[in-house]
Amino acid sequence: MREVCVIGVGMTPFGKFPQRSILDLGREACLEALRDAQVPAQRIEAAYCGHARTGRLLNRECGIGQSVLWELGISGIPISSVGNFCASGSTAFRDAWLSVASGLYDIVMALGAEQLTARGVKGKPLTSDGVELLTVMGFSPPTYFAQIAQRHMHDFGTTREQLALVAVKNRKNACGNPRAQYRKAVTVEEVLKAPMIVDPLTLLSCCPTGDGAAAAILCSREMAARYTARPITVAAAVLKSGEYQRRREITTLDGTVRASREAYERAGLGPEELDVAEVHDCFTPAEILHYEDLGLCPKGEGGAFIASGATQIGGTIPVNPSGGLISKGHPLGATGIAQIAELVWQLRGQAGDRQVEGARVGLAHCAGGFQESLELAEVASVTVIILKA
Amino acid sequence: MLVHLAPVREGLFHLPTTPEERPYLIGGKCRSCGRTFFPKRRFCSSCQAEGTIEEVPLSTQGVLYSFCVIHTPPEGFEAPYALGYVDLPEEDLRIFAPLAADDLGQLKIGMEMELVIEKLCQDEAGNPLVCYKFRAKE
Repeated sequence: MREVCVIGVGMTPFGKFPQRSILDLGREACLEALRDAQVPAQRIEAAYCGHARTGRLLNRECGIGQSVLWELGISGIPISSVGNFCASGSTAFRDAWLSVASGLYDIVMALGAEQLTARGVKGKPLTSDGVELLTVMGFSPPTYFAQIAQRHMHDFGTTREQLALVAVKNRKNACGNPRAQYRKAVTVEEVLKAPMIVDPLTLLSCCPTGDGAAAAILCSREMAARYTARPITVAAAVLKSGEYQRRREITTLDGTVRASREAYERAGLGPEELDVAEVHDCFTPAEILHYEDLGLCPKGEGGAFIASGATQIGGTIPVNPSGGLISKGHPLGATGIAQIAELVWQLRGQAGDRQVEGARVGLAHCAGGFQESLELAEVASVTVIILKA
Repeated sequence: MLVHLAPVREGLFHLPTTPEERPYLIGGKCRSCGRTFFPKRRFCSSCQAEGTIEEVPLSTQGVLYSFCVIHTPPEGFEAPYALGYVDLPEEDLRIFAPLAADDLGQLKIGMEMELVIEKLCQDEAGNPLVCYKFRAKE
């Protein structure tokens, strides 16, 4: 395998943009990434586009990538659509990495785009993809994460206040991110007193949906030197699927454990060497769980870990300096690549008011999707990506 | 009697047709490896044997593993309602289940639960749909 670098990133602001088109959003992110990399559009040899839901909403199951790039004047090259639930964008990034690492291509693009305002329903939790029976029986993603929270509180003594601190921290970070959808700080009391969605999750415990796009340009280490003096190395890009063994515990996403262990091994480092992480905080208990499963703290201590301040900017391992999904929103296909963009800005020292000083190693983590199973199953897809300055 | 009502999905549970009958969940057990599945599967994903799954009634007694109470309901549901995962120790299963209790506030992890068939929600035409639930015994 060859060493692969990220030489350019782009990202639209995330928010509700019903007046724009997904192609318009995608084009904006791709153009920014190309300009950041100083690579002409014609140099891109292949592209991988993550999108999870919008295709169907626009009566188009396939081909958002072709359509976005067509707008941009990129056509004729191999373009794949990558649908992998909440990890669609990060899986597209991993496919892009693999295509360069394998030696097949020298310079490729990973992009992700989503426009969830295209769905008709407003003010209700986004239903999960392809779990018709569970949905008919009243399931939605927050019902799963609320049960994680209940069991975590039962087994480990985690408190509602500790869960709320995830939203407080991430909203505070977002005040420094002009591309985040919600940039207003909130207090623990405001989180706890917000309208109850699924106990113990209130409105402020849940990430909003949204529209947006993000893109990254990847190339071989040899080629990177032609375009930039500061390439960011992809030290690991790992994808796992959920396992469905019996009587698994809901308080661990084993896919995250397996993906992160492999990523640390491939990158030749451990969690203690990370300077910054962007993790999948779709709901507040998720971030607590991810601390533990990524090895940032021991199992069961995630609540105390956030309360210690370790994951704030300025702490030992700042998590979600971008504001996370809770502040940015979660345009599914774009989310994973937006995390990559944030890490690249952090590792280049370009993150402005939310900069983690001296960040050299960053981790991005996505986890999502549900199996249509009445036996307790893991989330369907997990990615862990490690970048180094 | 609930027998005139539509189940949320065919094949998940047995609806009693007489007052003497009890409801039960319809599981599948692999003759080859002994793994029990809910719902019943056509193929044993545990040992990959073919044609070995037999229909079995599952135990009607369980233990609450985790739960949640939903306050913002999707279409067809009335809030608050509860969902959870219930352990069936006899079959070594941890299954998804709508929950029932006289007061949803009494739900607690570890409590004993019992299978019932009750109205769950209504379809788009407003007709009630029944489903299995686990009801708090305490």
